[in-house]
Amino acid sequence: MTKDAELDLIRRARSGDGDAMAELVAAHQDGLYAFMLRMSGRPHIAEDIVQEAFVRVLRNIDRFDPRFRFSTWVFTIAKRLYVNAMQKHRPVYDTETVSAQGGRTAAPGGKAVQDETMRTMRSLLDDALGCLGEQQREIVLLFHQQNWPIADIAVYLSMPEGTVKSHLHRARKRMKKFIEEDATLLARAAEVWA
Amino acid sequence: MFDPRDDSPDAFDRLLHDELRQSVAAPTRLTASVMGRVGYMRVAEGERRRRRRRQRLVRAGAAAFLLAAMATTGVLLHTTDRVRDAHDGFTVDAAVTRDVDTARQAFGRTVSSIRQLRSLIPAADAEAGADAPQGAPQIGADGPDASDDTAVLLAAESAGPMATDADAATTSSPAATPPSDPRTTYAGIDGRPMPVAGVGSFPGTRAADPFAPQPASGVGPLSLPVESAIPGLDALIPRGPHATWTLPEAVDRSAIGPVAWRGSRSDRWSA
Repeated sequence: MTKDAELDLIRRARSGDGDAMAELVAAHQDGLYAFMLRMSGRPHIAEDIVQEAFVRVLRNIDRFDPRFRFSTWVFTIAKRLYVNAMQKHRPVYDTETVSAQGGRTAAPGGKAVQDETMRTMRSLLDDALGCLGEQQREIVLLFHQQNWPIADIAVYLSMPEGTVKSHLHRARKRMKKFIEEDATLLARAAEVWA
Repeated sequence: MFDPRDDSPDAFDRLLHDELRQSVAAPTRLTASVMGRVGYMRVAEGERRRRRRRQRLVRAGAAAFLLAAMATTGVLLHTTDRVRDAHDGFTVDAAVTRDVDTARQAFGRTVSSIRQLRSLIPAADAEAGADAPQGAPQIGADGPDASDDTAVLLAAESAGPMATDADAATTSSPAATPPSDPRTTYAGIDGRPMPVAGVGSFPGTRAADPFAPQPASGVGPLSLPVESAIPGLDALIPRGPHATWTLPEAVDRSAIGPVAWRGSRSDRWSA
C-alpha cells in the first residue's frame, strides 16, 4: 500500500468510515501478528495484543501524526501492550507452535521432502531467535521479517542508526554461533543441506 | 541455501530473510473482532438499510420529544411568569388612577410642609408681643377665601384646633376615634391621626401609605379636609365602592408640582 493510499484510508477512518478502518486493519494485521508471534512465541498472546493494539489505534486515530509511518505508530502501541503482557506472562518461546503457525506459503510442489526441509529450517531459526535478547530479536524481526529500513528501526527504537546496525550484526553472529555450538542443531542443519 | 559452516554472512542473512519473510496469516476473525470492539459490524445491505431507517426514526422521535418538552416548559414558564402578570390588567385607567393617587400624596406632603412652616409662626408672634389673630388672614362670614389655600389653612390653624369642619372636632383630640367619613384615613403624625381627604376612597389605594408625609415633631393635627380647601377638588373625588377617578382639565397640574406626576411607586398596582 502506498503512503498516499494509506493516508487516504486514515482520513476516511477519521471521519468514521468503517470500511476504511477495516482496510487499515487488514493491511497491517498479518505483519503485526507475525512480529508478535515471533516476539512472544505464543499465538493467543500475539492475537490478543494485535487485537487490542488495533482497537486503540482506531479509537485514537485522530492523534496519528501523518509525518510518521502508520506502521511505526501501530507497532509502538503494540510493543507497549507486549511489554505489559510479558509482565503478566513469563515469555515461553514455543518454537513448535511458532513453526506450526508460520508459512502460509508452503513449499512449492508440495513434496514431502521439501516440506520437511522447510520445517527443519524454521525450527532451527526459531531456536536461534529464542537465544537472542528482547531488543536484538526485535531488531532482527523488524529488519528481516518486516523489511523495515535501518532508519525507521532507529526512529522506532529511539536509538542511533549505528547502534541498530551494531545490534543487528551482533544478533546475526550470535544466532549463527548458537547453531554451530549446538551439536543437535548442527546435525539437523547438515541434514538439511546434505 | 544456508550452510551453517559457511562463514559468509550473506548466506545467513539470506536464510533469515527468506525464512522470516514467509508470511504468517493472522486469524481471520481478527478484523471482525477489532471492528466489533470499536462499534462496527458487517451486515447485509438490507439489514443495514433497515437499521439506518430505525436509527433515523429513533433520532427523529428523540428530537420531537425534546422539542415538545421544551415547548411545554416554555408555556409553563410563560403562564407562571410574574413579570408577565405584572403587566396584566395594567390599563390606562389604572395608570391614571395611580398618577392621581401620586398627585394626592404629593399634595399631602405640600400641606404637611405648610403646617411645618405654620408651627414656626406662633413663636415669632410671641416674641413680637403681637396678637396672633392680627397676623392671620381674616375669614369672612362665608368661610375662608377659597382662592388662597395657604390662607385658608393658616386661618384654620389660627382660629383654633379643627374649627373649620364639622368632623374636625372629633379628629382634633389626641384620643380621637377613627373618622366616620369613608374618604378619610390616617397618615399619622406624632402618633395622632391625621385625616387626609380622599385617601382610601377609591379602589386600589392603601390605608398604610408608605409615602405619607412625616412632619416634624410638635406639629398639630390638621383637621381641614383638603377637598374643602381647594375649589372643585371635592367634585373630583369619586364616591362609592367602584368609583373611578377622573382628572378634568380644570385641575391645574402644575400647581401640584412636577414631582407629583412622576410617581415613585414601583410595586405592583392593580385598579
